[in-house]
Amino acid sequence: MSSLPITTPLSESSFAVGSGATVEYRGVRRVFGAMSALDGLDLRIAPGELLALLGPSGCGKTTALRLLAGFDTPTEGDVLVDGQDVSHTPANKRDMGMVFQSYSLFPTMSATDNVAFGLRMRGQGTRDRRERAGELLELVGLAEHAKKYPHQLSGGQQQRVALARALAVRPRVLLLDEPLSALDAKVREQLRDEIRRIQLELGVTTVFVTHDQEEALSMADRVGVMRSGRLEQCDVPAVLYDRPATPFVAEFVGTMNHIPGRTEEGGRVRVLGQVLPGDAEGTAPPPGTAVDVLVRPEAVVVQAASADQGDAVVMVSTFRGSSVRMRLALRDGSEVLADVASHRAAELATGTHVSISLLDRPVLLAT
Amino acid sequence: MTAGLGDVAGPADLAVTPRRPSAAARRSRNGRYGRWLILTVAGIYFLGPLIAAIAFTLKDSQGGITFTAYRDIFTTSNGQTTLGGALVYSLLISAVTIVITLGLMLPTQLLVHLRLPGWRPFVETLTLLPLVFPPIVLVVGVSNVYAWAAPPTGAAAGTQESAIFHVLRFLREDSHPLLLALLYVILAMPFTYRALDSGIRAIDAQTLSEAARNLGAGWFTVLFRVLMPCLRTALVNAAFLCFALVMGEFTIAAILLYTRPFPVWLAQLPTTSGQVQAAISVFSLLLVEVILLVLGALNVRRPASRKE
Repeated sequence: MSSLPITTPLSESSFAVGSGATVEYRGVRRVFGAMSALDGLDLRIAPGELLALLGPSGCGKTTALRLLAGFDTPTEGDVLVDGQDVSHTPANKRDMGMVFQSYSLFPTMSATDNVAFGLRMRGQGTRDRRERAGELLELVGLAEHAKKYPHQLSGGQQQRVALARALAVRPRVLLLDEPLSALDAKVREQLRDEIRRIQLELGVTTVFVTHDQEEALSMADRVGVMRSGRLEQCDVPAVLYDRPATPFVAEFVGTMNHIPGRTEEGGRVRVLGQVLPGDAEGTAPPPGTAVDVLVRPEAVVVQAASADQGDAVVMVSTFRGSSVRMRLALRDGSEVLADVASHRAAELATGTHVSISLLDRPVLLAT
Repeated sequence: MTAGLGDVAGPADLAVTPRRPSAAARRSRNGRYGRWLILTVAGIYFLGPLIAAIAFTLKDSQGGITFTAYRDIFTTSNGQTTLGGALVYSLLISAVTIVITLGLMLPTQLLVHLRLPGWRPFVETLTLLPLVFPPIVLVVGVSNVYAWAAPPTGAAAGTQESAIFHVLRFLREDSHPLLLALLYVILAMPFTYRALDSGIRAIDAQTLSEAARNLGAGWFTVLFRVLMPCLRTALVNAAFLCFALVMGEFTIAAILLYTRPFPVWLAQLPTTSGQVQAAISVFSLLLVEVILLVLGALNVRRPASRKE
């Protein structure tokens, strides 16, 4: 599979989608029988923004996307595009482009025919359709595969054609329903970069549903973390990672240590012999309450120490490229994960006694 | 290293040492024999009677070969129609049956598949009913409705005929046997439902239709431009089954006093010549086979020939 450099410029003005549309969910609920798939979703997506909806299976992220696509209607609330209520507009009248999780190319049509399908539905002439389809296939790096049929393309190529097909109609909003989940890791990474590059170049408002936090954090302008039909937090990736609003977000995005601690006066917490500013969800627990302190592995500072002065012992080290993740056994039997730079791995071999401390920054508390 | 290998077994050793076939090779050979045995038995079972029938039709009284029986089948009549007329009549019924079946079953099954999956067990059970009730029950039902709708026996001329009787009489007309086609649609339902169902399950109809809708296609376009091309094999299979059923169905047509459908025509031939009757059977068998082959050829996929 060919891969385009991220900096490839778009020379054709015809690619321009224009400024993307504003998307808004207003108090949207969707109930299936006794189950509430969406429970009062309020969300505004700015023009040209790429918003990722992230969450575990059954959290309502796909339902939110399908409501926007027009494949479903809300039980309550409104879905607005550029201020216009589209909640009951049929899917084929919404001017949106969607890439599906499963391969959704029409099997009896060539790549060109697939890309041109939406234009055909809009009554464009054969010549214009072919020209536009060619441009889009070139944009996704598949110009030389224009005459091939879906069964002659790899999974990654099929998803690129699907992306070209979705973009060919100059959609008001681009919808991506876990488009990379069926691909292998290498192709997934390549296509992730390409989708982001194309989205930035076209400036199309994009909603991207995924359960892969790495995908969401690396591609999106903002990430909305969902749980049980509700939006837990929606923010830029750095804030989501560094300052999760709830223990669920902290747990779901990245890896988190649960270290026992005890609250003190002034909203502070004592943990591993240190006193740090605490940040609890809702009402702060009274002083003296036993809490779980949530700490990222990279916020744990590890130093080699003698056997009598060490706080912990290195149990397992996992090489992760630029860093090594260590599983440390504390004296009380509990375990802590810590990330240290790879070049320090030699001095912190398995069985080494270490002292540990936490970076002096606010920590999230879970009771 | 090379020397070491030579010590173990040189080319000369291999040339003179007879090698026993491996167990895998023996199994493969036995499997091949087994396949030929099965094919031979099946061939004798299916082709034996046909070959015997052909031999019988070609034999003349002096022990030579004659095509008289095959010449006579085109002039033989049951008093109503000839072979050509009967075949055209049955082909017409087949075509109408196929059109009605596919026109009813495909949208229904897609609707159930895409929008009403909870209804699937009900529809599936419904389609099985023609297998549970024998065709005679269907005919008796139709006859009773016909009798109920008809004016009473001995009614005065000019008695008002009910609308339903008009409809039934129109359907029953010998010149356009819609009634037979409608009954055959019901008879074919268990088979066509399954042929179409397996085809629909084999494609991701939900995603394909949503992708097309998302790109601006209406339901008509989704059905005819997106789903039907993907279901071509299933559609042809369903058509096969309808065709085969119509070309062989005798009971309903005979009880409803139709004389022109091919199976009825065949059964009512006045000829006493066994050779002519056998020739007609052979001819009809080969004709149906040719038609099925033509339908099958239509089903060959030629995606590369499609152009934007």
